[in-house]
Amino acid sequence: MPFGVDSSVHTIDRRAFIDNSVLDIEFDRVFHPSWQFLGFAGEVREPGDYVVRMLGRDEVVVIRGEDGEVRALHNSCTHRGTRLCRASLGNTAHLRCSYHGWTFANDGRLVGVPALRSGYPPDFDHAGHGLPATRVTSRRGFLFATWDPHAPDLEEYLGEIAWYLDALLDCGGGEWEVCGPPQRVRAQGNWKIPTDNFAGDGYHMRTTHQIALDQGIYGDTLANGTRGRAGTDLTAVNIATPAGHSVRAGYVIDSGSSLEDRDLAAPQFPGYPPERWAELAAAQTPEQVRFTSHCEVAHGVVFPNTVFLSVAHDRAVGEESDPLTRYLVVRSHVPVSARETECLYWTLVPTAMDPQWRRRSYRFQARTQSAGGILFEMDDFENFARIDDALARSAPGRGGPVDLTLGAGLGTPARDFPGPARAEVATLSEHNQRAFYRRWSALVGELP
Amino acid sequence: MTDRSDPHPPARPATSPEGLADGPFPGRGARLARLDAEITAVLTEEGAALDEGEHRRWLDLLDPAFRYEIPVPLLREDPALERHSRSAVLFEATKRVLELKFGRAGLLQAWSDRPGTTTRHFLGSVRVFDAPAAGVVRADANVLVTAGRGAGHTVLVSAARHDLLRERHGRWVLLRRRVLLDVEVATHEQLSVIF
Repeated sequence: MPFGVDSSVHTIDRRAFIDNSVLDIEFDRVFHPSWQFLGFAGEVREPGDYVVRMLGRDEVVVIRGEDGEVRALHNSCTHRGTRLCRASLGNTAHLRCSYHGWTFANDGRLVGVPALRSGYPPDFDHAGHGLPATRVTSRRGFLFATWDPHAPDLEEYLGEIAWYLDALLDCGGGEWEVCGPPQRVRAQGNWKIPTDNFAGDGYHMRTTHQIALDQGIYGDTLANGTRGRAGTDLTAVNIATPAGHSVRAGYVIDSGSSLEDRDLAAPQFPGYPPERWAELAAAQTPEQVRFTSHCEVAHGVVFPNTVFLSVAHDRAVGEESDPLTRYLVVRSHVPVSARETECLYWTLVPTAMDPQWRRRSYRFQARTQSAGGILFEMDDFENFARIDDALARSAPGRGGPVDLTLGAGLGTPARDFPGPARAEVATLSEHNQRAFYRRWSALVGELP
Repeated sequence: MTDRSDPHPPARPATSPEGLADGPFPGRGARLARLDAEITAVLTEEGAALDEGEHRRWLDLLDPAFRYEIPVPLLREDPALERHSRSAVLFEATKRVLELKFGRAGLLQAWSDRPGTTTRHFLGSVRVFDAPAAGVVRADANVLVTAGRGAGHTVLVSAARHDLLRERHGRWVLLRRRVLLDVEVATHEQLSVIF
């Protein structure tokens, strides 16, 4: 049996969430061969622009060279190993080591060595002392990187999930702007805890976020809500791929109806201005519309540690006159240790919307599910910390393994679902989490 | 990367107090040292209301147009550059949002508010400046906040705080608060604090 996960992926050993020796294995076997999300090309728009990010164990400088190419360079001098960039963002033509002055061009080449002629052998290998660089691929402005020369190309790695990401982006008109530098926060708990939450955890909403629901921050879109949408239900579809990627999409439909009963002749995109719905539908393929229409919330995971969320909030977190407004946030859950995770949040706004709408979209994200979101996010952080607290205060084996059986065998295939991969209708299910851990355990394998 | 200002800042008449609650934070005007003691007393009472859990009393000290923001801290190479984003925020709130926050306190399922957190606001170096609207002043201060919750540990966070205060019906109320954290990446416990 692969470490910690039974063959049905119904349980996971608790050690997977608190043990630094497991994290060491994850860095080698899960993170190294995967494409990891670094940020957005728009963050490094000009030659010399850089941001510093983590890629598994390694810190990298994501920098646009004078040739216009974006690279991710190891942030460590090839002389003594000194950290080159201490800042987290900036613009520079060169990276100069603060210790002995070795200097690297912003494409990673070693271009300056003090006392080179007088102090180094004549056959000193310049080319061999450049900064190690990862493979980087930009897809619709999303920057992914991997250290693994044998990893498949990004498109193959993403597989079926690419269709769903494209649909969410195309639903907003296709072109998006990233709102400023990302929000960052360090949260207690293993990186997999918030990640599996985003994979498909609709189950926690009624408990963890009961107050947010009661306070009406989902307002008009809340199925069974009190603001004019009584008589509707939220029906969720879970889509999980063999590569561990997933999407959970929740649809607002009339009570007693099914997904197939949606009126797709008049598509609805809650959170976008109703007067723009026809235009937004026209910019999508008919298959994309069948996925995005009536969708209240969509969230998921790009394996291993990137998550996304598209959801609408309303005037409860804005002004009384504010309409229902959607935001799209992409997050990265970077392990700091087995028990601590740095979360980075990028909010994207469609350029097709007017400035006022875009500002409101960003503010609604900032007020609810941002790094400092006291109305919503803090209750998630609270539970992630409580999980960590309890697992760390338990004798080995105490309490049994973590349970993942919700919805097992109970989901029904979604009929005529437009996107690829198996889509299963089940509003409450851990179908996607099982897919995540199935992929995770296949990579982790047996512990030595 | 560059950190651009909001390319579409809301228009604001320079003379309207409410207009100062949104858009770029106004710069310091003339130094108004004669008001230091008076404004320090207001801010001391305000901090005490937070620490003592007197949320209604605290909310009453906020102007209806009040806006609260924590810009994203930026660690930059050049010390002369701004150390906080001009456009991105870790958190942003209106008075209405803060009313929702404090409305949670008595509710059983407010998981992150139960057990409650004990905070202590330590306020110092208050300096008052003029602001570009009649009856409005800017007060810059240092704050050190501790937050304790159970036996684990006490959270400590330091920040610069920039406030706009408005004289309204014979008393000072907060029109805007900007919190500039000293730490680049805060913990979720530090970000749970209302500064």
